[in-house]
Amino acid sequence: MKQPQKLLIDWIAEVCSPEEVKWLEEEEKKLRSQGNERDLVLAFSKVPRKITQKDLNIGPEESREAQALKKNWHPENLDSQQAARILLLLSFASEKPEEFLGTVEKLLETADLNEQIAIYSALPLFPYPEKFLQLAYDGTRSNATSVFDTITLENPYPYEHFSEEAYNRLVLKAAFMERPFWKIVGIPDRANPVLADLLLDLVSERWSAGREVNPLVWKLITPALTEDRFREFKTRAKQMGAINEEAVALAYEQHKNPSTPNSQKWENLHKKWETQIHT
Amino acid sequence: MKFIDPHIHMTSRTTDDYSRMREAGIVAIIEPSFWLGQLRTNVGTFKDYYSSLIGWERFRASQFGIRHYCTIGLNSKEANNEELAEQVMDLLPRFALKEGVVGIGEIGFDEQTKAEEKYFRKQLDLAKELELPVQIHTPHRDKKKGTSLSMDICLEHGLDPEWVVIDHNNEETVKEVLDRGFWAGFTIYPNTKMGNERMVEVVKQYGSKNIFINSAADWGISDPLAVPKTAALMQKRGIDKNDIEKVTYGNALAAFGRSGQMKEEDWETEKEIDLNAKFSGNSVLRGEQIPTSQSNEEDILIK
Repeated sequence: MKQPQKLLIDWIAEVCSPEEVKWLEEEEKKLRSQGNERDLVLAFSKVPRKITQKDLNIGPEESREAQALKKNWHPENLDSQQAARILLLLSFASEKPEEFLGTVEKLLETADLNEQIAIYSALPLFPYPEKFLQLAYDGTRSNATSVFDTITLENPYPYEHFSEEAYNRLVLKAAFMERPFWKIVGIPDRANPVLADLLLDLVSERWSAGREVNPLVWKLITPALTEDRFREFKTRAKQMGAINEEAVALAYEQHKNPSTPNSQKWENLHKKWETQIHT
Repeated sequence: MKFIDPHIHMTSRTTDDYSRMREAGIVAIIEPSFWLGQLRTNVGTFKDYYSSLIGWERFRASQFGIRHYCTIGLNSKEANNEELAEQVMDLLPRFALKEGVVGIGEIGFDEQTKAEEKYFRKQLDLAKELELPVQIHTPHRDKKKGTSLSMDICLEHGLDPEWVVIDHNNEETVKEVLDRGFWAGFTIYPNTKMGNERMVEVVKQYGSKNIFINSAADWGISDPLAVPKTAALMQKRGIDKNDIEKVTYGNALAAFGRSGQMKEEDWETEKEIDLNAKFSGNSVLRGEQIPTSQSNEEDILIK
């Protein structure tokens, strides 16, 4: 068995019964040797009937192994059924990119929520991942947050393959939907002035409506700050509460001294925000 | 009390309905595949419809803390377009074994045509092959005969009555359905099907064995709270609590639970709804407002 299939099966074996693992190993072997599309479709659908849903025990050691195999791969949130589905997909990934793409497209056409999540989790591990760009873009258009999150958060795929324009749209949508956008791989390295402008507009619109935005967004707005904008938002922040005032001030500080990352200060601000929305 | 509505078409309903349903104690629902009020003209729209039942609608329900299941099938009206029906039949196996699909349904008769019968039979065979329960729609017109015929055909195809739900019963059909050992579904639907006072009388007469109720709420004038409302009425009219539980919860679970896709623990152990995981962060639950007749300002504000 190849990596990362090997890792996946080890993790599943830790939480599922030997019979369940045996079924999975047999399916994997079949798909790898003489599998056809029908075998994959059937096995993929059958996972919930064959594998008990359990959280995987992904500790620091397992995370390290995962990262060594694929940079920025985060299997921490996978459960046994998702892992099994990823394993099946990888075993079937043939040497013929177009054929495999066709198979995955077909699977997605009739996929339920959990199946969609499994497919988008597997995307960065596929061979020739660039072939799946259009599918990935479609995934980001999902209104189901569970699907959107899978392709967006802690997934190396957008970071590695999305154009800057698409990446910016993704971050903007995540912030708009109040998803934890700081978990998008590549934040803040891929921050750029265009994104900063987009996010500043978002803040402006929300504040006009008397709604708050997670203050971490200001970290990404830094490249778009000017003296005029700083003054404007400093004034407007007064209506929005102390955290927002701090965020604007911190963004300005960073804008002035880009070499100082202020990580701890942003972290503290985020903690304050979390406390505020949970009380 | 907690309730299951084993027949409701949520794609036609709003979020207001979802929040009121959850507040009234509905923990799980089953959405049968049906027609959309007008006939579809190509197979792609069927595919997208089935796909929405196991995708978006399931997600939408989960936001309100309601577990959404569905049954997959070709409804009787659209079985009359044979060319299309053939293509839909090819599609069904791709959906029928998905997670949370608890049966083949709703299938059966509308005008009791030959084509309807043909695809009814084919789908019964599919249900048998896939070991899934069947949810049968009984016709509005010539109902009594259509109901008998549906059961005859089920037996002819070797189906176990304990795996078959005969739906939309009334005082005329219930006795035969129960006598033959099928599940008897009753739809509490204003004006055209059962009213709930009549339902109370049915339970008084026949008890709670093999009987359960649903709303079949859809795009017509219907009531998504029909199940909890009827439970309340039954309580008022002195029906035993145990019987109410069976008719509004337990029996539906026993019937559709045979699929292996619907278990009490699905909602009993449901992870607490993450209020922050909502679309736009505007938790649909947090946004819940139930206006009253004496609306104070808080009730009429839209934030």
